[in-house]
Amino acid sequence: MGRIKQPAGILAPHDARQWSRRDATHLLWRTQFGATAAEIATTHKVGLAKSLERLLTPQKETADFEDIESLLREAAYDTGAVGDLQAWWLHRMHYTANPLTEKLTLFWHNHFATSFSKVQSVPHMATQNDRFRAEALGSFRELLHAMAKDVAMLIWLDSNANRKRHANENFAREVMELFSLGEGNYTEGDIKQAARAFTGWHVRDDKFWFNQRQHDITSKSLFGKTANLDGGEVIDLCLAHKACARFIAFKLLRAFVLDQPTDEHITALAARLRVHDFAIRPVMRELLESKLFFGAAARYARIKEPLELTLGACRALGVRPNLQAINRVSGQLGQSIFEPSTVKGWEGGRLWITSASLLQRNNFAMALLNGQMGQMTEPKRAREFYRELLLSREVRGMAKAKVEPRKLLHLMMTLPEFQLT
Amino acid sequence: MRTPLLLITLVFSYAVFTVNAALLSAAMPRNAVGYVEINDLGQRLIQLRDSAYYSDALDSPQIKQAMQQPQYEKIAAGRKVAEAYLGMNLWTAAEKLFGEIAVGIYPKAEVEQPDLVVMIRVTDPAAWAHVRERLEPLITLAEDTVKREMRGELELLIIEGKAFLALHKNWIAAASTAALLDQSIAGLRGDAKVVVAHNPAFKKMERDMGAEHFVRAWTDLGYFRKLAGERFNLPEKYDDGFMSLMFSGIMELAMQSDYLGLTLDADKTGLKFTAGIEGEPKVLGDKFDWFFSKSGTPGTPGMPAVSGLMGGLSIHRNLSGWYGKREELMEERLQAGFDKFESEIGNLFPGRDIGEDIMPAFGSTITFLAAKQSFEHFKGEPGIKLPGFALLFDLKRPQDGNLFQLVFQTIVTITNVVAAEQGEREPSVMTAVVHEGVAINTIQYLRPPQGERLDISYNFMPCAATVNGRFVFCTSLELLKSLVTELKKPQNLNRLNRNFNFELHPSALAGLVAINSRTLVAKNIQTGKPAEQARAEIQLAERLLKAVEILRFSTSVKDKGFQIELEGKWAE
Amino acid sequence: MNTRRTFLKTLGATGLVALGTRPHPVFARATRPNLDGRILVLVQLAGGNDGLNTVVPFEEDNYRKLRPSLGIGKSAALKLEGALGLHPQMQGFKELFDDGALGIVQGVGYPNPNRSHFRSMDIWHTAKPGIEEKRDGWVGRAFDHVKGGLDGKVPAVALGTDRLPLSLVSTKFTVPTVRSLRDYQLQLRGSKAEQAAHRAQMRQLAEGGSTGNSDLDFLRRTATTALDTSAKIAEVMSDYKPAKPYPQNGLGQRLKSVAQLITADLGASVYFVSLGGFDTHAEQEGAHTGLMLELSSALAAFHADLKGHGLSKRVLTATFSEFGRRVKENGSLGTDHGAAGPMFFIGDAVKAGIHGKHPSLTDLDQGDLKHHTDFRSVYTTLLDDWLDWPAEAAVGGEFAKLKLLA
Repeated sequence: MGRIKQPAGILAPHDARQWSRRDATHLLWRTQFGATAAEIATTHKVGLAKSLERLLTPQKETADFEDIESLLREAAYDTGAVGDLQAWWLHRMHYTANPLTEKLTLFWHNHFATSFSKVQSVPHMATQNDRFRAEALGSFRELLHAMAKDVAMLIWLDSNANRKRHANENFAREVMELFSLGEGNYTEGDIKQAARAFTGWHVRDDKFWFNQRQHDITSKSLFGKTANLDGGEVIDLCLAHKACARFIAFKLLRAFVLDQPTDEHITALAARLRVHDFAIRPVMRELLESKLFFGAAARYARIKEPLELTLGACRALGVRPNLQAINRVSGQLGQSIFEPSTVKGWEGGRLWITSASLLQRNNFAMALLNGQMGQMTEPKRAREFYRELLLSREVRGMAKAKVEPRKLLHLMMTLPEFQLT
Repeated sequence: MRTPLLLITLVFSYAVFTVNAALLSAAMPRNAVGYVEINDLGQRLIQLRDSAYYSDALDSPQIKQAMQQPQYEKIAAGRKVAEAYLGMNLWTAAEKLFGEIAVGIYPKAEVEQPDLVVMIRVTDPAAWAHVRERLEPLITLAEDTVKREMRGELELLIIEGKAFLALHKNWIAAASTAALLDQSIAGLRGDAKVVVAHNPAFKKMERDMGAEHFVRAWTDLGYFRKLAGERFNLPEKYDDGFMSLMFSGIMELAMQSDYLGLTLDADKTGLKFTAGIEGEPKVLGDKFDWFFSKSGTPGTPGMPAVSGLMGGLSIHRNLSGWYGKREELMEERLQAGFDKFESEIGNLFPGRDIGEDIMPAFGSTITFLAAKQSFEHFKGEPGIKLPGFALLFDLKRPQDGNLFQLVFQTIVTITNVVAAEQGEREPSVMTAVVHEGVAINTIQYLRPPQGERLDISYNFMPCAATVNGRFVFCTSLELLKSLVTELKKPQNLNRLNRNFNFELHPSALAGLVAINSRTLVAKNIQTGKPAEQARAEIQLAERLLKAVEILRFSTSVKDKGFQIELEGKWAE
Repeated sequence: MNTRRTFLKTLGATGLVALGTRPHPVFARATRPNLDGRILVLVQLAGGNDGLNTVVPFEEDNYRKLRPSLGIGKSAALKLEGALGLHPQMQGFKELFDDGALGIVQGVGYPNPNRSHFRSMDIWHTAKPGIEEKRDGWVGRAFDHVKGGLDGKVPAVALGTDRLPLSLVSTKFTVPTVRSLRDYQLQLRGSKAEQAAHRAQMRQLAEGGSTGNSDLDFLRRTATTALDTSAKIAEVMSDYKPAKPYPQNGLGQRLKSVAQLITADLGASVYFVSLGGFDTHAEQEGAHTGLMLELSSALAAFHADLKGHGLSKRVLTATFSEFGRRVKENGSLGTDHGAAGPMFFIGDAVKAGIHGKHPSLTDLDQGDLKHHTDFRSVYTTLLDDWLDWPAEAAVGGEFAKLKLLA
């Protein structure tokens, strides 16, 4: 393979000479669950290239992190309770040295939305989560193949019911509709053909098991190819389908750049996914240093996910989060990890917001300032400091508000502007 | 501690019979409706200071954190000033000054605020003289508000005409009226003819509860009954079945009583809190005969001494008697609930009537207990390890054991089907084992469960047996076997005259904390605490539990009264 | 026609007719979305209610034959008209029926019934049986198309649910979902006056014109709605006295909250509550009996409360479920997913009685009752005759109306 050409057009690199403190804040809020003032300062100082290097290459975790991580994980295995598994992941999100990896892990969890409510097994959900993390910046091709054999996924989509004489379409449908192509890019006939290729992909003794006797070995036709296709070949055909890269590009743009991507954005990013054969690390690198990412269209263009809001606020204000409380509030706001609300995952964007959820977002701000989300120290810095830290922009009327520090923080954190990143 | 007191009591039995001159109740003016006395306070404080608890508490992260607060620093500075002023350490001051302390409460017609008398008898008159000397300049400074007067060896202080104090070389008396102060002075000099100790209701308390205690408090219930109405505004019928079963008899008796007494005793081995009322159950008539143990059925037996006992609860009630009188005892609107209960529970006893057949099968005592269990019957153990639980009750007729065996089998079958449906645990079959000649019905898994983190439901291994006139449901075969061994011992039928007995064995609970400590630390970390603090807190909890051998809450019928006891024994 | 009737009523109510003055145009616009304050309360019976054991055809041979264990006998059923009776636990509904405040529409459904809970529920919410699209719901589309807009009023409230029901989803408006009234409180610190000042400050910072960022405009709009609605609800929460006590069950308490919001004059035209647990595949009798009691007692109390507040003419309550259940009971003493079922309508404006005949128990479609009334006809009636909201856009076509109102 020859050298890969740099992207051009909207994905061409951002002009490094314009690197500002607000650019640094923008980068961190999109690639981590919030940012501290110190992190923003360092990122601004070392520049974009070094910051991307930190975010995109594996960083060593501290011994303390590893220690608590395994303690929380063991506890979840011991109790078998989803709440403990949720706390384990929240701890990772907040304390890891590899925040972008965690963000992408959450991205893949949302993409391959699987819920504990049906799987009912901490080890299976954790194993699936480990896989998302391992491939977070790895290869979507590998990940899609792995998910077809993932135990939690197989239980989630009733794969044991997929038998030679009675093909169950559940998995085949989701592979196309939710995991690779999106609605409108396949027919009901395609699903029937693909379902037959996955017959016999079962679970036995808590492991993937290819049930030869239940596998349909007759000929199938999919996207113009006719052969005795098996599941792996169906996945490769989906990956080769022109809609696949566009579908993944659309989702990556929504998660990292803007809630309402245009066709131009999608086309440009899909091309890069093709160029890199679905390798995520180089695609993310190009995206995060692009003109598009730092352009006006991408600023304040996403509504914060509940976890970006809750963990992000804790991080910014230096609160050691009470993981159980954060989990409860994020769940109330619609984002309960390991328990996505629909098979499609969280659609995000404006659907996070109703007047009731907005009130609850405001009430979270109050609870945080009251110390109910973890110990909160008295805010002592100047108004400008908090405005840059929390809002990273000027807000009309804010400078005039004459109130004591906690009330001022509450006003900032209940601004409509605060809901955007 | 108790033995010398007992000796003194014997030697001065004559004095006790009339009025115990050493106690401030012999000095407190008559007509009090409430009285509290603390004896040897200084000594106890020193004991506390030197105890392991105190140093443990000082070491705890919460206290350490509190000590860094600005409020605490202010208190510490205040203490330094006070110590410099008194010329002695505050602990020493407490030790030397606080001998006996007593407070009397006196009703004042049509005024809500009652009158008060406070008396302190000092331990060390020399130290008291020293303190008085040191305080002298302060009193002089406050001349505007404090009026001083010498009356013989007494120094009288009147503060803003509202508080009246008398300082003596051995004691201090304070009262909210001049008349009460005069009576108090007379009492402390031994000149008073009638003191609170002569009050008939007070004498009854002393008769029932003894005179010598670290702390005792007394109230004249007759007085309060006059104020609040005969039944203290409590309804005749209860609106809560549990309250009726557990407490109604006590409440009824309390309404008849002339006094409510509270005592607290503490020494190096433990502490004991007792609340007592007067009254014989027979004054309540038939209505509450199901509640009280009588001479023929003297209360609950002790907890079976199985190894690793963490705690348990026994009640002595005639269930059938209670159930039969339910319409008389409880409100009409609860009755429908009983009917529903009957029809539902009736499914477990086909062809039998709950009131007629089932309730009368229960004997006088029901016990629920928890003890540690190992998981020897599995190839592995549950991720969360719970103790084994047992429910024991006396059978009125031994043959009724079969009735409950049938219920046991029905329950096991139902749970087996449910568990199999949900795929949570391995299917099992009913089986029986014989232990020391007693047949135990239990289940056997077709495949012994394997793994280090079995589902929490594997903490429950249902089993049941009839032994020595008692029926036992249990969740651990191992525990049931040791219960069988214990219950076969004749001394386990001895009754301890307790109407209700709840006991905790914290040192055994500490073991439960220890085996689950990994999970408990993790849970603590989840609340946002740093790992080090989370670990230290769980360790401290374990240590504090280990320090207590037993905590007991019990009620018992005495000759002429009824007492509630809360007792703690420290581990050696 | 209808508009004119309402218009005259409005004039009458304000005494303007007597004074002979013309209504001020601002006044007319302010009442526009609510007309004379008519309110629709939707009660969803989630899981598929067994309509056959709700409105019981106790004399049908096939009923007795296909429901040997679960069938309700003639003596137990509460008689309505002819050979029809209510489930024995529906004493509350029976009284409403006798008082002329309960209408029952028989055999409601749609062509090619879908027997999946989710799909069929989506169909009832979107009113688009042929199309798998979940952008908005029938109520949402209706108020999206109200001429002149809603003038900042809360279009609808979903109460006691975590997610906004699809039927209320609009492409323009944010509909509040309220788990309980307590959830709809803004938590603030300090004295009453300090809180009011802080709230006003939040309101001031949140409102404002177009910013050029459509998400921010949306957030500002939603924030002001949230602040205003929560303030109103805080007012009613403090002292509400129902005219009649509500039963201590979930639906009863949710409907009590609805009554509180209505008496507080929140201004919403549609309220949505849900009662779950109707998916009775096994051991149906106990569960269904409990649900019938909850439904009937809660709605009877709700009606009585509204009547006590003089609101029972203004409020119409309708129940719906995604499907009925199979006529033949299954082997686990339960019933499986079916098709057509009855809908209930409660209020003093309702034309009481039984509308339409009971679906045939002999002419079945794959073992299920056939519908004779399309649910979109019912929706059209509710929108056009009751709320005076555009029906055609909402249900995607013209459907014959029923004579549902007195």
